[in-house]
Order: sequence, then C-alpha cells, then structure tokens
Amino acid sequence: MKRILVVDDDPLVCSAIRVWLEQRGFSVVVADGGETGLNALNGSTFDLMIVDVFMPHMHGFESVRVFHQRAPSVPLIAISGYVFAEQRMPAPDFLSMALELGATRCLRKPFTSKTLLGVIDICLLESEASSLKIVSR
Amino acid sequence: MMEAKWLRAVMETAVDGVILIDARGRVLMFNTACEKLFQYPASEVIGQNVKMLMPGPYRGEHDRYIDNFNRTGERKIIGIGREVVGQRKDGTTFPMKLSVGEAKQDDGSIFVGIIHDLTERAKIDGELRESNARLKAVVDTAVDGVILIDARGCILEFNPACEKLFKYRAAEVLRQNVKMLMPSSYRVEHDGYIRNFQQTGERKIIGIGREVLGRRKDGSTFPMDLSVGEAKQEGESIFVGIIHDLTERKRTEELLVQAQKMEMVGQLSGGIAHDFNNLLTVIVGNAEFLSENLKSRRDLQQLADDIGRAGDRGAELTQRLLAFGRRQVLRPIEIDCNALLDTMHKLLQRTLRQDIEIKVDFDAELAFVFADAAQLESAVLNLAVNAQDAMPSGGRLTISTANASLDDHYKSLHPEVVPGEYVLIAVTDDGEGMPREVIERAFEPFYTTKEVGKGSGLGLSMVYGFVKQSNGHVAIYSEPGLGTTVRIYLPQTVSKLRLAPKQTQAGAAALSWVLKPCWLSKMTPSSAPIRFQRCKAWATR
Repeated sequence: MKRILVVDDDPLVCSAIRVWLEQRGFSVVVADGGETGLNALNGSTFDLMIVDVFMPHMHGFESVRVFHQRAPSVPLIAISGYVFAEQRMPAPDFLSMALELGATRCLRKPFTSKTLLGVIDICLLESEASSLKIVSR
Repeated sequence: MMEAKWLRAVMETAVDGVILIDARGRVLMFNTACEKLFQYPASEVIGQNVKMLMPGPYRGEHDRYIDNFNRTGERKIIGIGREVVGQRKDGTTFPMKLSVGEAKQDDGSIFVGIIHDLTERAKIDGELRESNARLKAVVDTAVDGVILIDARGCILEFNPACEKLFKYRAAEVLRQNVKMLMPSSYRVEHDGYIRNFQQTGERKIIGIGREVLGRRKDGSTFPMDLSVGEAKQEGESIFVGIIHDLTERKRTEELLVQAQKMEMVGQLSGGIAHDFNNLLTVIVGNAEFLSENLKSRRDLQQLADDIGRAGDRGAELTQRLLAFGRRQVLRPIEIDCNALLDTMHKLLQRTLRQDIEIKVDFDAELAFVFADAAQLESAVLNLAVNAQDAMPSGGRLTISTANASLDDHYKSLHPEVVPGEYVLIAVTDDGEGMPREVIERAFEPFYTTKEVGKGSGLGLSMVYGFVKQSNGHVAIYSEPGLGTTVRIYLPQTVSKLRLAPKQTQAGAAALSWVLKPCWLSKMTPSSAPIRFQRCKAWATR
C-alpha cells in the first residue's frame, strides 16, 4: 500500500484529500504545517508528498525546498491557492519556481479529486520507472 | 582700648581689603585681606604711595583725583563705589570694587578704602554672558518656532523660525497678545486655559504636545504641534511654546493613507483568493467525488453536480476579483489621443442613451502619449458610463483634449505629481455632481454610490490604477448640481515617428469591428467594463 503525506494548513482541505485518497487505497498521513510535516517525515518513509506552497511560518516556496531536501527521492506535488496580486516585479511563475525548488508536479487550487488522483498516478509511475532504471544499471 | 582691640579684630578678620591712606596718597594701614589680595606683606606697602597697587593707567588719574579733591573738595570717587583694577605684586591685575570714605582728623583727612574682590563675579558674569549667547544662538537658529508669553498671554519673545512660520516680523507681534496667532475658534479657548491654569494649577496644554492650528499674517491657517513649558521669572510665570510645523507631515500622512488603501486592494484580493481557493477545492473536489460515488442514486448525484457547478462559478468570481486586484501587464505604444477618442466618440454616439448629447473638443496640436491603448479606451469608457449615469434625464457629455503643463504650483497641491508636460483628457458632464465626501473616496475600490447591482464600484479604481501605472495623474472636479469633470493627465512623449495614417485607420477599423458584436445588447453600467475587457481579450488572442 502506497503511503502519501499531505501537508496543508487548511484542515478542510486535508480531510477532503484524505477521503479521496483513502478511497483509492492509499495510506494517508496528514500534517497541518511545515513543522508537523517534517516531523512526520522523520518518523517514516512515504511514496509521495503533497505540500501546500503558502503556509504560515514558512516563507512561500520555502516549504517545497525544505521538504524536497529532506526526502529528495520522494515525488512532491506542490499545491497552491495563492495568486499573486502584488505586481512590483513580474509575477513569479508558480509552476517554474516550484519545479526548480524540487516539485515534481504542480496543481493550482481548486482542483477536483479526479485531477489530483490523476497527477498522483503519473508521479508514482514515473517514480517507479526511474527507480527501475537505477536498479537495472 | 577696648575699641582699639575691636577695630584691630575688624581689620584682621575682614574678608574685604581695608586700606588707609593720607591726603598725599601714602598708605597708613594695609589689612590682612589686602595682603592676600595684592600679595604684598604690609611692611612693603605701608609708607609707600598707594599708586603702587594700581596698574599704570590708573596712577595718573589717582594723582589728579587727590589733587582735585584737595583743591576743590570735590568728590570724584570718595564715597561712591567704583569698579577699578588692582595690580598684584607679580604684576597681574584683578577687578575690584573700591569704596572710599573720608575721615577728618586733626592733622588732615585720611581716606579709608574698602576693597571687594570682583574676580569671582567677573568670572560668573563672563560665564553668564557666554551662556546667554549660547541660548540666544539656539533660539535664533532653531528650526522650530520658539515663543515666550507672560501669564497674560503677552508675547515676550518671537524667534526667527516663528517669523517664517507666521509671516510676521517679531516687531509686529511683540507685546501683542498671543491670540493673534490663533484662528478665531481657538482664541476663546486660550483665555480659558490661562485662567484655568492660574486658578487651579491644572495643566491642560502645558508640557503636553498638542496639534493645533496656527494663523498666519495673511489669514491662512496651518497645522502645528505645540508644546508648552512653564518657567518662573521673578515670581511670575512665563510660558515657553515650541512650535513644530506639521504641514509636510500631514501631507505625507495623507499620501501614505492613499497609497496604503490602493496597496491593500492588491493584498486583500490575493489573500482572499488564497482562502477562497482552499474552500473551493473542498467544495468542488468533494462534489466531484460524491458524484462519482453516487452513480446508483441519480437524484443525489444531481445534487452533487449542482454543488460542483456552484463551486465553479465561485472560482470564476474569484478570478474576476483578482483581475481587478492584479495590476495588468500593460502594452504601451505611442498614441494619438485625438484619433483614439474620435473613434470612441462614434462608438459612444451609437451606444449611449439618446438623451445624452456628446461633444468633443480636441486640441489640434495635441502631443502623443505612451500608454496602453486598450486600457486608455477602457478608462474613457468607464468615465463616459459614469457620466451617463449622472445624467438620468439626459444632458451633455464633453470629451476634450489639450496639452498641459503641470508645474511646481500644481505639485504643491498634489504632491505625488511629477511636474512636466502632459496630455490632458477630460470627460465632463452636467449631471448631479458629487459632494466632497464622495470625491474623496471615489477612487476607492468597491466604493460606489449606485444602487446594489448597478455598479461594481470598480470602474474609477481601474481608471486610477491604469493612470498611475502609466505615470500619469487623475483628478476629479465636481460641483453638486452642476456637474463633474474627470481629468486624466498622461505624460507627453516626444515622438520621432508618427504612426503611418493607414495603420491607425486599420487599427481603428479593427477595433470597431471587434466591438460591434459586443455592443449589440444595451450597455449597462455594471457589465460594460467587464464585457469590454472580454472583447479585447478575444481580439488580442
């Protein structure tokens, strides 16, 4: 059974995602912030992480970088509800920034359960494929 | 004998010097204090002429005094104390106060000199003078106003900074009552303050800084921070006022408030969107999940689908809110405003109400501006729609252009403006007009005086945002009952290359072609700007 870590400061979002994933047979651990999320990583291994990009106490995209550094081989899906309204400089492209910092895929909220599950499937497949490649070398 | 003993005691213990001389100036007696003062032992002085105790210049004088006295009996120094200079044994001098008394004896007069050392006092005097000079320098050069009044409010001191602030010369205000520097509303209060303080010792303003209004010579008022301290002078109270001009600070504060308001919109929208999107994820995601799992219950599945659709519409609404909050990427080009507005003129004629008469007044020598054409059109459109709404029973709408110079005087009224050459686009109506309170808030996002559903309150704030991003300036002039003019100033550009005429015409033609289908339905105030945006988006895809 694949284990997925979900990190988002909104409890409603966490419980919704948990329901969708568990119905599909994933084992889900939920964390409400950067610190609890990292603690969860300390305790066990995961096959995939879903991390909210803008959470309090973590500076914006920091959360992506921090989680990726902690578990570099685990695919990370960055989700974001924030849209950049402040335009003193050109708006950072959410996608490219998150990918640079270590996210495997990005999703903008709101997304449906179908969409999320689809992306999870892709990430898991890719991850398996690359680990197979490594083994076969 | 007893008396002699006492006299000797006096001579030996007196702090001041006591010297006795005869009519020729010969020293008869020289007390202990003199020995200390002049640093001579008595033995070296007694029998000598008293001139040895004076510096050169005084010696000649002294002979003359004595001579004069002997001949005429005229007292030049006798009895009257005088400040002179004594000379010590080592040649150094010191200031002294000399009082001389005459004692008539059988064999002639003898003179008693009482000598008081003024060295200390001179030192103190010197220090006092220096200290006064320093204080005066402080007050004279202070940037803030310093004013002194007595217990009755009479002005005793008025420093140069005060002269600059109030535009009075010190001579014009000294000895006048300080009330002349206050606007009339404050004057009555001031008398009350002074009276109250004198009776009760209660400090209403003393010591505590307060924001008040000062009144200049020309009658104008200005905001000032006033701190008052109390000092006692010969038993009477005098009051020291420090005046700090707040005009600049008030202006900066106002600008900051304006800027913050505008800034807040951007942040607010972003923040709201974030929370909104979280909620929408839960709604839309769960709805879809439920729908998938309710295939056996079509009725419930339908409900789930409805929830999802409602969530979708919520997402769309967020996008629209954000479109406002997000500063748009502008694509500025050189624009001949007359040509652009001419096209709009025709458009407006077709689409505004019949009872609106549209006039144009273009400056033939109008300079070019560098701005985003679509945004400019959108801004003018917003203003035209507002004008139409202000004239419910019809009226005249005028669109005019002119070259305009915004100078330093204008800048002093509108500090955020950069002086320079601008192009002015003015949209004027003779409708209801706006009172001052409305004008002050008109550019605020979501502020509207229209009924619910009739206006989003975003139109003018979008105009403001566009103008500011284009380094321009916008101002509203309005008179309730008479009408309103909104003036947009955009910086002139010095163009080396005018757009070829056929290009502008083609551009204009394309514009009107694109706009036509959207204009099929009657323009309503709230939907017009958004529809316009959509048309443009479609056209530029």
